[in-house]
This record gives sequence, structure tokens and C-alpha cells, in this order.
Amino acid sequence: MGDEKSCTVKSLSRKHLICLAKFVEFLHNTSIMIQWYEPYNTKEWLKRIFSIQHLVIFLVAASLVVAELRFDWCERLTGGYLASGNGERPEIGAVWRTGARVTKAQDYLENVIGKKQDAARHAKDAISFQQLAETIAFGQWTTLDKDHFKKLYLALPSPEAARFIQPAELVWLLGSTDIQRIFCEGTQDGLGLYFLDLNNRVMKKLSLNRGLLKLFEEKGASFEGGLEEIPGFGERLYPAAVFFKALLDLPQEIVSDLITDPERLLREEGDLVRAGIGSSSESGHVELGFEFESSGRRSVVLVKGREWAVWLLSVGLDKEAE
Amino acid sequence: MTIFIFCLRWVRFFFYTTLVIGALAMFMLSILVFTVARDLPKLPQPLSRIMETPRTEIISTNGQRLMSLGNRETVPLSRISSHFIRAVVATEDHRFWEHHGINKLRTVKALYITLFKPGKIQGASTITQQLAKNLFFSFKQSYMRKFKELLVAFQMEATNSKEEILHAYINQIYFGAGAQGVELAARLFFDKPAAELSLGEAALLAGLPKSPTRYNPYKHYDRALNRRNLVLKRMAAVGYISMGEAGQAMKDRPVLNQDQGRAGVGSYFMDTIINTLIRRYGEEVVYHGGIRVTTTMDPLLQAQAEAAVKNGLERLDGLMGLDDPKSDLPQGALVAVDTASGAIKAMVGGRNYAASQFNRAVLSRRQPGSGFKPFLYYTAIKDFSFSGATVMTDRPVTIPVKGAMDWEPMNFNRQYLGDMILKKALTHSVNSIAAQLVEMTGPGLVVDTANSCGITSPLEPVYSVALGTSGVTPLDMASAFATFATGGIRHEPFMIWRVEDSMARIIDEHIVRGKRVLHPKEAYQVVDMMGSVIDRGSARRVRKLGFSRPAGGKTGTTDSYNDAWFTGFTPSISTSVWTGFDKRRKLETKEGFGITGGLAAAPVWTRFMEAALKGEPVRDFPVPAGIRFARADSVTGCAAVEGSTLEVFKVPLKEDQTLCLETPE
Repeated sequence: MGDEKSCTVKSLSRKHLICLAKFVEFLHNTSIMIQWYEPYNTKEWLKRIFSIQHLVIFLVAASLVVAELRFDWCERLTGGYLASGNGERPEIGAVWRTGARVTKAQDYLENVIGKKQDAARHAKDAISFQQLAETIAFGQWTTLDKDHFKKLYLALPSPEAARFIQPAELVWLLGSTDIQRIFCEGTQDGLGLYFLDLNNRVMKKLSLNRGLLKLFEEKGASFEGGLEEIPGFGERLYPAAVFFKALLDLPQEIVSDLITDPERLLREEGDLVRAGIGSSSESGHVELGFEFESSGRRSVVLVKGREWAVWLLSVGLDKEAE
Repeated sequence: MTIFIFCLRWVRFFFYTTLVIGALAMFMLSILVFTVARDLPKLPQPLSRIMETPRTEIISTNGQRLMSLGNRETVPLSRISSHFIRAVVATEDHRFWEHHGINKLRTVKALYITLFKPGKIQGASTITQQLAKNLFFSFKQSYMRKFKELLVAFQMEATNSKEEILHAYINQIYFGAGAQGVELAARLFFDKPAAELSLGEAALLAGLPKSPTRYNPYKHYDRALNRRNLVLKRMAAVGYISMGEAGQAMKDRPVLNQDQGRAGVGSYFMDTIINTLIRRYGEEVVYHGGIRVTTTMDPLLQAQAEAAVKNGLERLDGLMGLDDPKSDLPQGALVAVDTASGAIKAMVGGRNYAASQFNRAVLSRRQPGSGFKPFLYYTAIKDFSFSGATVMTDRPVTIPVKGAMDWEPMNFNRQYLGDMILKKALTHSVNSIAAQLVEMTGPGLVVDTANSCGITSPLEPVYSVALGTSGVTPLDMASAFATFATGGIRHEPFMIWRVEDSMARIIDEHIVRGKRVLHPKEAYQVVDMMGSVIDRGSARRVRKLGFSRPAGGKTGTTDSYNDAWFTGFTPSISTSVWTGFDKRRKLETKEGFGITGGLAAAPVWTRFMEAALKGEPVRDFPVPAGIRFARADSVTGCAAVEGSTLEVFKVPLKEDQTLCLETPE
């Protein structure tokens, strides 16, 4: 048998034929003897072979094989069985991995779009710029139509509204056919509003910082905190004495153009400690800030001065500094 | 008698042994099926769900579809050429319509060959098994994987019709060159829908899935044809076509879609967009989110840019005497930006995308040479109230540098011409005057100007920065020069207008925000000088080549001729062109002369701009209020005298600027 084992089928060579002969010889030797249970003649042999039991076994086996070859019942049976448990099986494999990625991507997009839609819905419901700023977080954006913007603007108290944008300029902007919509985005300071044309080009940009929003909300209330906390007031800050000395050196008619609303300043409680000039101009006006201190609490009142008058004041302040 | 009994005994022995072994095998297989079944993947129901992955579409600014990610386009069997369906069935699994997931005869034969013929492996996978493998299994060869694949195939056959299986198979099969599914493959290789494939074309496509790379018809056309012929013979053998039809089809040489190769170059633009999207949203959203991306690409301009770069580089090869396509050839890059918005309209990142995917338009930082001088001139004009008529002296210059050797920049032609006005100095790109200017302004301010114009590459604040020794990209240059074209209003360059989801809900959109970064009058004075560069300076070749529109620009060539640039603009488009080798290698003619930006890059720019602006109205640069023009002598800077033989330049002056000897109006 050792030889037989070594005769694994590797090639149909001479060695292979020798192996086969040895195997036949082995079978012959073991089959010469007649076993005690075997028939002793041919007739008996044939009787046993064609017995009903054997014929049934043969027919069943043969029909199973033929049926499989003809009707593929094994495949159908297996396929049917596997299909019955399909629901409980794991979602693995390339196609499911792709599916998982699709789901993840769609979840992400739904999340982004959901946030945008929420922001858009809240923005639509907003009845003031203050509400709008609360709705749109930093990095979020939505668009406003002209009518909605008009409503929000008209809801502002008059002097503060002019501080935001001059009504005449707004009439021109909103009346212009070039402006298609207003893109509104949350910024670190508050809100950025962009008037866009058909090609998404910014025709006018407005900023609504928190200080301004607070003024809108409280109709002229002072800003809690120091001047340096207000955007645009970091650079030109002066002690109140220096500021007013330069201011009072100016002709009277210029002073009245600088401080157009002195009642606001007079109403504020506390000591006037500092004053500052804003860095940007809007519609021919520059913002001036006056910082008051009362019992350790600081507050700022903002007023608008005419640009040319502020320029004259700046020249005076520069002379003072020299 | 003995022999007869002997035979009977052995018949009995084999019969019962076979029965027992068969029963045992069935039993073992059943156990295996029960065991393995739990780990089999779940099948999507219905099977067509596998094709529901939404495609991300990238479209051009005019709505033309440029690319689909998740390259598959599902079509029903009724919209696929019957030739193709027959070719696939004949080649892959000719008993497909008869079997139930496995071709038993072929499997036994394959098993015999695999087991008993060392070194040979025969595949016997049916179309259903191949589909199962492609959908759920890795390509790692193992008997267990084959068994699982077989079981999944049985389930597929049990729960789906043959048509459904074939539909799924044909629409997900990979044909190479990025084409998955027959529709995309038909469009890619033959520029026609799958329904219109001829017998020859269908047979060629049906032969590809066996080895898409090996039989890629673009690279190995004859090999692909041989494979096609095998498919045709197989179709004839199976009886789908007659031998006569097969022979007739074998004589055909299908014409491949040549646009496919061109799309490869446009891929630099697509690559950049895809990378931008991935950075912004992640790979899942880009490849599986089914988003719709509207880009800034103008397909017409893109095609013109590709043609201009191809033509320009071939011309450069000729100049350099490089006729061996396998040798190291010079590269080129081009970026065109819409000055009014910053939208990138065209981008070419190299000679051939298939050969090198490195996008030189946005990734390669190369020294711009004199191309950087406009930033210096603007700084000097702004800070010292110079004008184009200000007189400087072209002379050898030595500038002491703290802690380093003195800087002694020389003129390109090593000659010094004495006094000349600034406009002439920029027109002829005089280095010694640029060096004097940067000594006056300091390099920091020049860097500030360049940065505010839009140069985003890091710039070293050293004197030589004014002569362009810090590397910048063509995108930087095109974008920064666009700031001059708009009179000082800077627009961020961008490539994506809008991103929407599959239901057209906006995820993101670009808002064009212009920011004034240059004073309009000073910017105009520099633009005027740059116009002179094209009219009579280092880029006069642009005019010689027939470009007559108002334009400004500046050539740039590095000292060692490694880089040759031209960046120029009209009021509407700013375009930068770079040429050079990827490695440090001189651009020189076959006669040994260095090649300048005016010679290598300006013709590419001209060809592109000529084509890009065809049909557009001619527009001049708007003159800012407070600018007047005067004619100045190029040497003295004084008002030109009638009949003077000296060169005269028309210079724009601000209200507070006058020329010497100028007669007040």
C-alpha cells in the first residue's frame, strides 16, 4: 500500500500504469475467496441483484441524479433555503459597504440641509434683525427676499435704522432690478448681509454687529462694556479730556455736525472717561463712541458724526498728540 | 464463472460505495451549507437596488455634464444592443439561460483540470457566480470563497429572473478606463449608446471584462481585436451568429472615440475640483452622495486652453530639437480667470494627464522671474508717488544685505542704458531699475502688495523677491494679475459655483465678493505700463501674432532659463502660462540660446486668448477719474517735443503729477 500511496496521480506516465496494475492485483487477491454470505451460483447472484430492494435503491438513486441533472433541484432547494433566511443575514460585502457609504453621505447631506432649512424657516419667521441674528449661527447662511428685508428694516426705530443704512440708499438698492436677493450669513460679530445680483455678485455689503443689534433691541440703550470691545473702535481711542479739547477747538457749526444727538450723551449716567472714532464710514457718517464709568461699570454710547467733521476732529486730535 | 462473479462483486461494491459516499457527501454539504449560510451576505431585494447608488455629477458653468463620479449608468436590457447581450453570454457563460447558478459539466471539468493538471487553473464561474463575486466578495482566491459565492449564486437564481440577473451583471461589469456598466463603456469607447453597438463593437466590448487593462483598445488595439475575434468565434460556435457574420465582423476595425483621450487633459481641472470637494465634504459625500456640482469651467475655453498648450509645447519641442517623444519633454501649465468674479474658466496642469497627473497649474511653485515686477512697480508708484514718466538710471547696482553677500542684480542682456522712465524700464524689464525700486520700498511692502493682490504662495521678504525669486503657481499669477485688470478689486479665485443635493437643494454656493486692495489710479498706471510690455516690450510677440485687443501683461524668465512665463490680461480674462521642465533643466534652443517667456509662453497665451475672446466685443481698461495722459520722452521724462527723435511713451498721470517742461493746458 505504501507504493500505492506514493502513486498519487501526478501524470499519466509509465509509473502511473504500474501503480494501477498493482492496485488491480490487490483487488483480485482479496476477491478470490467466496464469503459465507455470498450466493454460490450465478442464478442466485442474479436473483439477488435484481431483487426489489436493489431495484428500488437503484431507481431512487438514479432518479435523484437524473432529476438533479435535469431540474437542478439541489440548487433550487439550497437557493430557496438561503432565501428564507436572507433577512437575518449580515449586510457585508462590497455592495453593502457602498450602501453604507451612501447612507452615511445622505445622512450628512440631510443634516446639512436640515440645518439650512431650519435656519431658513426661522429667518422667514423673524420679525426683527435681533431675532434673525439669534437664528443664524456663525458659519450658517440663508437668503432673504427683498420684501422680507424691507419688513425687518421698517421694524427698526428710525435713528438706529439710519445708522444701519441710509433709507435713501436702501430705496435705491431694493428698487433696483439688479438686486435679486439678500444673502445673510452668521459672522463672529453678528450678521453679514450681502445684496446680490443675478450672478451672485455682491452689490452692497452691510454688517450688523452685536453692539448695533443691541441698540436696535433697546432703542438707543448704551453698550455694556468698554470701547475696545466694540468692533471698529480698537485703534483711535482718546482720553475724554483730549478728545473734547480738540472737539471744542472746532467751530461751533462743525461741533453740531459731530454730535448730532447730545441728549443721548447727557442722559447717560457716570463719568465720561474715554472717546473713540470708528474705523469705517457709512453713508457719509462715522461712528463716535463715548465711554462712561459708573461704580466700576462701563458703558458706551454711540453717536454718528458727519464724515468731514470727524476728519477735521481727527486732524485736531493728531495735533494734540504731537 | 469466476470472472463473472468477480465483476458482479465489483459492480455491487462500486454501487454501494458510490451510494454511501454520495450520501455522506450530501450530508456533509448540507452541514456545510447550514454552517456557512449564517455568514453569507444578505442579498439586496430587489437586486436592482445595487444600482441605486446616486451619482455625483460635475457640470460646467453652462450646464454641460463634465463628469459623473460613481461611473455607472444603468440601462434596461431593452436599451442594450442584442449583439452585446449575446456576445457576453456566449463568452462568459453560454449555458446561462439553462443552468441554475452553476454549470455542472464545466465545473467538473474545471475541477479536474485544477486538481489534476498542475499549474493550470480553469475558471467555470457562471454569470451569476461572477455577479455574486463582484457584489459581495473579495478577489482573494480560496475554496471557501468559491463555495460561498456558489451559495449566493443559488440564492440569486432562486429569487430573481434570468433577465434581472443579466441586467444587474451587464450594468455593473467593469470595462476599464473608469467605465463601469455597458452604457458608459459604449459611450466612452465608441461615443454612442449601448443600444447602437454594432456586432463588431459589441464583441470588442464583451471581450474587455476578462482583463480590462490587457485588452484596453486605446493602448493595445490589435490585442483587443484578437480578443474580439475570439468572442465572435465563440458566438458562432454557440449558434448566435453564422460563421459568415463572424467573418464579416472580424474584418471591421471599430473606430474608437478619440475625445476620450482629450478628456484626460481636462482631468486636471476635474482633479482639482474633486480634491476641493473631498476637503470640504469628505469622500463619502463626493463619491456616494449624489451631489450636483456646478463648476466655473467653460468647456469651450477649456478645449481652447488644451489646444493652445499642446500646440505651444509641440512648437517648443521643435525649437529645442526634441523629437523623441520618450525623452524628457518640457511641461506647460495654463490658468484662465474671469477678472470680474475670480471664476477659473480653464486650467491645464501639464502636457498629458495620462502620463503625469501632477497639476502644475496649482501645485507647482516656480520662480516667476520678472513676472513679479508689476507688484514692485505698484508699490513704488503708490508709496513714492511715482508715475510712468519718473526717471531712473539703468546702471550697475550693488545693494548691501545684512549678514549676507551684497546683492548685485544684473540686466538680462548685461547692458545698461542710463536714464530712462519707469514705463520704459518695465516695458523692457530692466532689472537694475527694479533693484533700485525695491531698495527704496523694501521687500516687505512688495510682498504685502503681492499678497493683497492674491499671491498665496509663501514669499520671502528679501530684495530679490522683486525679481521673482520666490516660487508661485500659475493660478497665483493669473489671479493676482486679475486684480490689476479690475483696477484693484480682488476676487478670490474659485472653481465651484454651487453644490446641490440630488433633490436640487442648495448645500453651498459661491458669493462673488470683491475687495478693493489697490488704489485705482496707481493700479491703472501699472496696467498702462503692462500694456506697453505687450505693445513694444518683452511680449511684443503677442502683437506680432495678431492679438490686437487692449491687454496688459508681463513676461518672466528665470536667470538659468529654467522657467519661462507669460501672464497677461484683458479687461475680462486674466491668463497665466508657464513652461519649463519638471526637473531643473534649462530651456534652450537646439542652437544653445536660452528660451524666454516671450518666446515660449507668450505664443501659448496669444493663441488661447485669441480663441477665448473670439466674438466678444473689444473693451478697453476703464480709465479712473482723475487720470490724464501725457506724452513723455523715454530718457528725460519731460513732455515730448514735436519732431524729437527720442522714443516717446504716452503715460497716465494723476492730478498732482506733471511732466517737466509740460505746458499747462
